[in-house]
Parts: sequence; structure tokens; C-alpha cells
Amino acid sequence: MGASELTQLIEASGLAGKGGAAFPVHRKLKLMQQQPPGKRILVINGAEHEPGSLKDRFLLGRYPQTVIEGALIHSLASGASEVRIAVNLTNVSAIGALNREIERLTREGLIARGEHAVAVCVVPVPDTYIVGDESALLEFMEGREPKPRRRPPFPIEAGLFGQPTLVQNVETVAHLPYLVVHGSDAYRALGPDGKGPTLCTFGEEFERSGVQLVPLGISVRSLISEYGGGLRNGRPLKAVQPGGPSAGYLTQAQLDVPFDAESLAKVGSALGCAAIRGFSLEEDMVAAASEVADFFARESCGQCPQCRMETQMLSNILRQTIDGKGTDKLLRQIPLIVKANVSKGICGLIKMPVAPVLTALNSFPAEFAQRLSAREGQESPPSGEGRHTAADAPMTS
Amino acid sequence: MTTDTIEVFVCNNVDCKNRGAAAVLAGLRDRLEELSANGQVQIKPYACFSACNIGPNLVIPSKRCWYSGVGPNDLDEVVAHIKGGEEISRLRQQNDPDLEELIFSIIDAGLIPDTEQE
Repeated sequence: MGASELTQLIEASGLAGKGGAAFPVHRKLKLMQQQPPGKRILVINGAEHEPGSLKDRFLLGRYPQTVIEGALIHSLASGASEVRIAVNLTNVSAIGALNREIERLTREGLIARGEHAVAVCVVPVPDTYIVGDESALLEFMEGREPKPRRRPPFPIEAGLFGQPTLVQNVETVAHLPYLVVHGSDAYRALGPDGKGPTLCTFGEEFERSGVQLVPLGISVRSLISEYGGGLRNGRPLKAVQPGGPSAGYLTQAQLDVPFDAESLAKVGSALGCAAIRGFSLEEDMVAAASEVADFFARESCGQCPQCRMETQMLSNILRQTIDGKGTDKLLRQIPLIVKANVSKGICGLIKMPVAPVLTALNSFPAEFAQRLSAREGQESPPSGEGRHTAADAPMTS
Repeated sequence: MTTDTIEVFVCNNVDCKNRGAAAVLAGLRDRLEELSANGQVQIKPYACFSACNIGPNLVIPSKRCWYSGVGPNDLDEVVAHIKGGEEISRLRQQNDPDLEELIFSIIDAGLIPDTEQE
């Protein structure tokens, strides 16, 4: 099977990136194939930094052979002669397992010889969230501090050491061996809507916590009950965050939404890295949103003023609210701050706390009202004055 | 702090610090020591005004005044303004009007500056 045939197969399967952005894999491949002749590099991002996500560690630790096989298929499709697999430097067992597999394949002459010889190596990377940005990862691989680069040029045009570089999440390539063996129809049939499967991580609060392969397109409600087994504490479910810390919260009434990237985006949430958190009735959604805002304020690399300002302001406002020093007026600054910073920042981190914070504000206004200082809470409960949206804010950015 | 206390916020985040915000903060505190002691002025470090590329930034909310690109040589004039003197127009020339509106909106809403950054 050649590059063209592989690309057609991947396009027919509908496979999209599993790192969070859900970008169609065949489109990245076609962009890579359009680059001028010369050396091309494939970087597999197996470094996992989203709180609650364990799927990439699971894959690397248990199925290193599938990962490398998938990487080799992808290198053939993209014309890459060099594959670098990024792994959290603390994930010592995965680094060992991958290196042993690379040594075996090299010894047996399966990757380093012949027409399609590929050099494969493992690159341990630091445990910082920003390395999840592909250009920050490339900066680190070039020996610099991992900070996102301005784009253009995109890595696919000028990536690692200026070479065309395609960065792909580790789970994405791990789907390729099945696809090649069984075909796109069989792959699509693994999900009810023909969208295939995905790995997800159920939080500790679920009866069946941990990593599972689930069909895309089933409802979030089915996902939670059939695969997650419901909440361990047996309490009714109040909210679900289906795609890691940057995904918006779904309320009980929204749980019939299909569990796939497109459907979740339409309701203000995201598939993201498919790290699923469930919140029972008595849990504090203000604290949950505040934790998320604190996380992104801490993980912002500080390079872009707007990102620093937005992430820190959101974090400060929510902490102030939790401390009983918030006001309705202060909460109403949140959409203004968000709107003023739309489309700003070099990378996507500036957007990360927005959906969880806004959906928490909109879906659980009574919880915020309870946290407001007594005077403000009595005068102006936020629940009575409509939704908080960045689009409604009067500021222009 | 009384209702007449003049608050002065000095951005003390990474960029502004790199541009000399610490010296601005220290210089202001030094010059306004007496007024601070008797509660007439309160000088506080601030998390970020999102105007890092034109910092150090300093905001006097009661005077609806945002100064950008403030250096140690400007401090005598800033202090004079705080004490009732003229506004310094050259320190407002780089300000973005939309951002200025947002800055005052957030401060008016009661965001407590992150003093941990000090």
C-alpha cells in the first residue's frame, strides 16, 4: 500500500486527530504531501498533560508495538524518514517499552533498511501542559524552552529544524494498524454513526474508572451509564465534563447529545482528550470551574499578554467568588474579558478556560449566587438576568 | 482605607517587571510613604492589565487614569498628579481605548488585585 492509497483509506475512515483538536488526519497528510521534496519528519505526541487523561499513557505502556506500527504506517503515508515519539519524561516504563520495541525492529531489519527506511527514536519531554502545543514541543526538541511559536509558518511547512514536520497525537496513529488490516468500513462500523471509536478516560468518581475504547456517536448518557457504570457514590448526576479540563460542562438535560467532536461543539462543550468527569448533585460547580481556571492560569507560558491577563483574571474572579468576596458585577466582567481576548494569543491556551467557566456560570447560576457577598446576592442574583456570553458583551476586541 | 483613599495599582507581572515595574512600585512607595501611612493613598501591585508591550503600567482608578510606559524618571510627576496636580498626557498616548474601558470596568467591579505577585 502506498502513500496515496493510505491517504484515501484514512479519508474514507473519517479518522480525526485524538489530541484534542479533532483535525482530519487525511488533510494533514495531504498538506504534508504538498511540501517540496526533501526530508520530512513525523513527531508523535505521546506526552500527556491534561488533568484526568490517562489514555496516551495507557497506549504507550500496554501497546508500544501498535504505536510504533501506527507511526510507521503514518510515516509511509506522509513520506517521513524520521519519527520522533515524545513521551513524558516521568513515564519511564513507556520509554523503556518503546525503546525495546525500536531495538527489536531495528535488529530484525524492519525499520532501518530498504526503500522506506525510517529512523525512530523516543524523546522524553517535561511534564508541562504547554508542551501539548505542537510548536512548543518542537521548540523543546530543538533544545529551547517549550514556548509556542508564531504561525505561519506552520510546522508542516517549516517545523523541526526548519524541515516539514507533521505532529500527530499518539492515539491517532494507534488507530492505523486496525484500519489498514480491516478497512475503513469496518473501522467506521465500530461506532453507531460511522464515526469509529475513541479512547476515553473515566475519572475516579465512576464505577468503572480508567481508560476504555468507546464508540463515538453514542449519547453521553449511554456513555456514562453503559461504559462508566454511573457514579461510584450512587448519587444522581448533575453535570458531565466530557473532554478534559477545557471542555464545557453538560447539564443533566444535555446528556442526550452524541459523544463526538462535532455534536459536543454545538452545545458549547468539546470531545478534547475525552477525559470524562462526572459531578454528583451535591458537588460545587463554582469550585470545579475555579480549579480549571487556576490550572490554565498556572500553565500559561506567559508569552502573550492577553493570555496572561485573561487566564489570571478568570482565576482571580472565581477565587474571589469562592472566598465570599465576589459580586454579580464582577462575574459580569467574565464575558467582557473573554470577548476582549477572542482570537488573541499565539496558541490555543487562551481559549482553554473559557468554555468551562462560561458553561458553569450559565448552567449553575444559583451556585454562583450563593457564593456572592450577602449584600450583592440579595440585591442582584445573577440567575435573573440572562446568560453570560462573550458574544453579548459590549466590548469590541 | 477610607472612601477618600486614592488607590494606585502598579502592574507587577512578568513583562512589566522586566521593564522596571519593581522600581516604579518601590519609588512610588518611597515618595508616598507619609500619605500611605495616614491612609490617604494605597499603593498595590496588580496582576496584569493586558498591556504588557507598553508597560510598566500604573492605574489610578479614582482619577480614571491609566499611565503606560512609566519609568522612575516619571515618578515625581505621577506623585504630583496623585496629590492633585496635572495629568501627564505623554504617559497616556499609547493607551488602547477599548482596553482602557475594560481595565476600569474590571476595577470598578471590585476585582481584588493579586497581592501575592508582589
